[in-house]
Amino acid sequence: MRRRQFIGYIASAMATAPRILSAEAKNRPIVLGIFPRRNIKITYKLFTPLVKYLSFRLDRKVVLETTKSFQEFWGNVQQKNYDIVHFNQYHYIVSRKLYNYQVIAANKELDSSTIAGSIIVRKDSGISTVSGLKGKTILFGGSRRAMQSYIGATWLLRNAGLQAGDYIEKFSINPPNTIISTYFKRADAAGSGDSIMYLDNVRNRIDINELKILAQTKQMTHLPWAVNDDLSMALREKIQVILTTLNSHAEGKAILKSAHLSDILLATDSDFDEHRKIITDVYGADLGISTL
Amino acid sequence: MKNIKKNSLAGQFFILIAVIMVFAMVINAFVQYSNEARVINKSLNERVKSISELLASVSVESLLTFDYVTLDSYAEFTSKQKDVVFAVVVNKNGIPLTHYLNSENPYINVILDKYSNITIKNIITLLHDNPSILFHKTPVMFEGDFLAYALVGLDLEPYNKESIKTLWQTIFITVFTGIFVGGAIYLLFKDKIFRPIEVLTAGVKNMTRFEFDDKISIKGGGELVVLAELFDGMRLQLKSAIEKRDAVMQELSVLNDSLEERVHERTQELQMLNTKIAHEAMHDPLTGLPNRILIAEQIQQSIYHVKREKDSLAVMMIDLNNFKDVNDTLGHPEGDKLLVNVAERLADVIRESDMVGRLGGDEFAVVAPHVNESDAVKVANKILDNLQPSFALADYTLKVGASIGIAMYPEHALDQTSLIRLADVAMYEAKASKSGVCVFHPELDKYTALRLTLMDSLHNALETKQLHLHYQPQVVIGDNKVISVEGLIRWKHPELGWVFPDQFIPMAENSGLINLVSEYVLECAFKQWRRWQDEGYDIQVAINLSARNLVNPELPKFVAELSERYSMKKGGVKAEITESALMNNPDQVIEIMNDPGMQSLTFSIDDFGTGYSSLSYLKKLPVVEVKIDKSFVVNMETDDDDANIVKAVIDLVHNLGYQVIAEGVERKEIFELLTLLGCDKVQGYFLSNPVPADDVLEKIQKIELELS
Repeated sequence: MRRRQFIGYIASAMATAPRILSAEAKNRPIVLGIFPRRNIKITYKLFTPLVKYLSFRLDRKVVLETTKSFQEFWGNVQQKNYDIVHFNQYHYIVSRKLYNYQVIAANKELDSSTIAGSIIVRKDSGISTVSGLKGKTILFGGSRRAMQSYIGATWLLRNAGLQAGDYIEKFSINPPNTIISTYFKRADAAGSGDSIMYLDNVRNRIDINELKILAQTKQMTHLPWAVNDDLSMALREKIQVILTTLNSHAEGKAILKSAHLSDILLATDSDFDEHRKIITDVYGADLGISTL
Repeated sequence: MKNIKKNSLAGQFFILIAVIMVFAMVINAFVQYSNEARVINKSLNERVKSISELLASVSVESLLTFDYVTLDSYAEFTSKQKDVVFAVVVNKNGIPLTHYLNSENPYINVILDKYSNITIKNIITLLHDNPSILFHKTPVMFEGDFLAYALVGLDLEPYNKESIKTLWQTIFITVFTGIFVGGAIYLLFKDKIFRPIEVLTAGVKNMTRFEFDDKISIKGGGELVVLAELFDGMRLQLKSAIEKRDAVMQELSVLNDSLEERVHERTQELQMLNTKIAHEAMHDPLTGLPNRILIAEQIQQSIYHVKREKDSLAVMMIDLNNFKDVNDTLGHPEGDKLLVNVAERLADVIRESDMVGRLGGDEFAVVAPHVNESDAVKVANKILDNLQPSFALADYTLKVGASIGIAMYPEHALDQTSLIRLADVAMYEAKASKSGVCVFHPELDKYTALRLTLMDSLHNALETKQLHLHYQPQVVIGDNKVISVEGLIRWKHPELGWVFPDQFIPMAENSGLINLVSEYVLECAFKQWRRWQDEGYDIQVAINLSARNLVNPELPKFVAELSERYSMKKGGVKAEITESALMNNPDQVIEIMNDPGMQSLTFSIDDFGTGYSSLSYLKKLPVVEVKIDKSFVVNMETDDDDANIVKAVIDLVHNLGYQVIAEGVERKEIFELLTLLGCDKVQGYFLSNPVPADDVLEKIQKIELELS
């Protein structure tokens, strides 16, 4: 375990070394990486205004990069290709641990700065307890690294006494699709964040009134924004200020709206301790890094 | 072009060409349209199929990865393709797995405006019913497993509009081209065909109006010029023929007028002739009175009228007394004059509403409607009174009585035939009873029935020898010997018993049977004479011949045959002929009496003193004897006038050189008086009644014994 950790550190250091040298270079664009929560096209559409705004405010070219898959995205994280990165809580916690990414802010979505891992079923499914999911098909959003959709939901299953193998585990490309698929009865339950159900791209597609939250975790800080520790503190702070003050002016509000966000709030690493606990409960002390 | 008339050949030609062109090109346009529509339809089917299949193929991954958001983006992308109304992915139950619908699409927009809160599934169901949307459903499969359906609707409307627009453009171009080509063809043919035909048509129209002066000609060459020349030749021939015809027609018109005038004259003549014939058919030519037919018709009409008015009607039959004697003695011309005079008096005496007619001979009839029996008798007596004055003929003045029988409707009969018959019966009764007028009563009809029965039986009587001769002896005064007998006919009817001559001889006279009866009597006389001759008795047999016998040209031949058959000697049979029969047609009677066939007979004038005999004829007659009428004899012993007449007749006859015989001698005093007056023979019941042949000889012996 240690050996594997060590190799990871070395590889990471080797990969980021050239970037360190050029990150502060005036002409090098700042790379903003967005995890594939949505498809690439939508992601670009949502965050292009922010990118343009950052570029304007930083007086540097800011480029947006996203990937089609988490593997590819995680590869870029590992290589520290992103100067600013927006990802889920699990990836932040691991990247913090492995690559020292520093959280500077977190989302406020649907006027909520927190989110809880949830298990959602159809009201007409006849399932009333989490333990009733034994033998059922549970669709989780994204992958086993999805904080709320998988880890939070799995944590709820474990707490209900269901172990791996007691149910059929399936994955959709992202959390909204788990809810939509469950609505279309392609799974008996969906593992997802509690607020996902209320996103426009969910509630505009299905009648969420036919769904119910079977169980959910404590409310936890929303998706984080982190920066490469290669960035200078000044730049980090400047970026943090730009992001967390968007809601204070019209242009910023438009940018937030475009990104389907209520706000971007200041966040610190301690805001993610609850997440670490749950991850540890599910994956153990190594946070599941060995399975990445 | 604008001079084209719709009904002209040119017009029809133009219209025909244009119509054919337009029709052909419109058909072509429709065929093209159909082909294009088929190709477009096929292409659209392919397109919607390919879009549907494309959506299905890209949906596989999203469905496998539960990526409905991406799936929805595919649906959105597909929906935004040109003419795509919607593109959805549905599960096996038809539940849409994508939610995107283009709300700006007109079809969807209409539905959304109409229905609030409508589901995508229901929107698609409604769109499915729209014929303008082409659907295609492609199953989304992955390694043989069914995942969903990709359902795509393609809007056909733009293609349909484009097709219709293209079709109308083609039709417009087609119609324009058809009219243009038709017009061009017309212009090409106008001078070559239509103009010459117009000239020919005008020429023929002139001819149909009998106008032949305008020459028919066409410039140029070709068949139509030849045709025009032929038409012109026909024009000239027709002109000549019409002129000739008009001349003939003029002559015919004159002849026709003459013919019509003659026909009119003949028609008038025929009408007059028909009127005359109709009058003659209904009227007696001698008196001008209605004849039997018209009288019968009048009775019938009168019956109709009086029946309606519940009234009565009298039919009178009038018969002149002794008119036959007038004809016999004075001749038919005088008889006819008398009838004309009688007719005039009858016409004078009747009412305007009555009708008098002549039925034949001396028989007249009067039809008097609306009179009862009493009035009818008064009318009849008035008629008799009017006939009472003497009639002045050419050489004579005559008194003529009449007998009138009356039958009443409805008391006696209900139809005209019966009324005439019953009036006739009553008339005979009036004549028999000499009462002048007799109204019919049922008893009279019995006698009529008897007469009819006798008439019917007379033929049979002749054939079955029911007729017999009884003989009455004739005595020669002075010698008191019987040398002759008069054969008097008797009829022993098997049912009626003895029937006397006055009951059936008049009927025989009227019916023509008298010749047969007379021949029968002659044969009996000849036969009886021969029998007595053979027995040694020379007894002359006298018989009576009627006036009809004496105008029968067959009589001499019959007598000659009898004479030869019975070896008759002259005078063996004596024929008694009444004075009136002799005087009726004396020349013809004398001719027959002198016929050689009659030589075996001697002749006697019967009933002398009643027939207005002409002395000149008496002298010429080949008679040997004259018989004084018994009306002078029967009372002569008490009536001096009769005695004087008898004496005068005896003297006259003797002076003419004939013998005299008196009949009707019924008493001894008469017999003695006749003896004193110098009569030659007598005959009567004082001496003997007529007896059968077998009793004659015995009766003769008895008479001769009594007189001796």
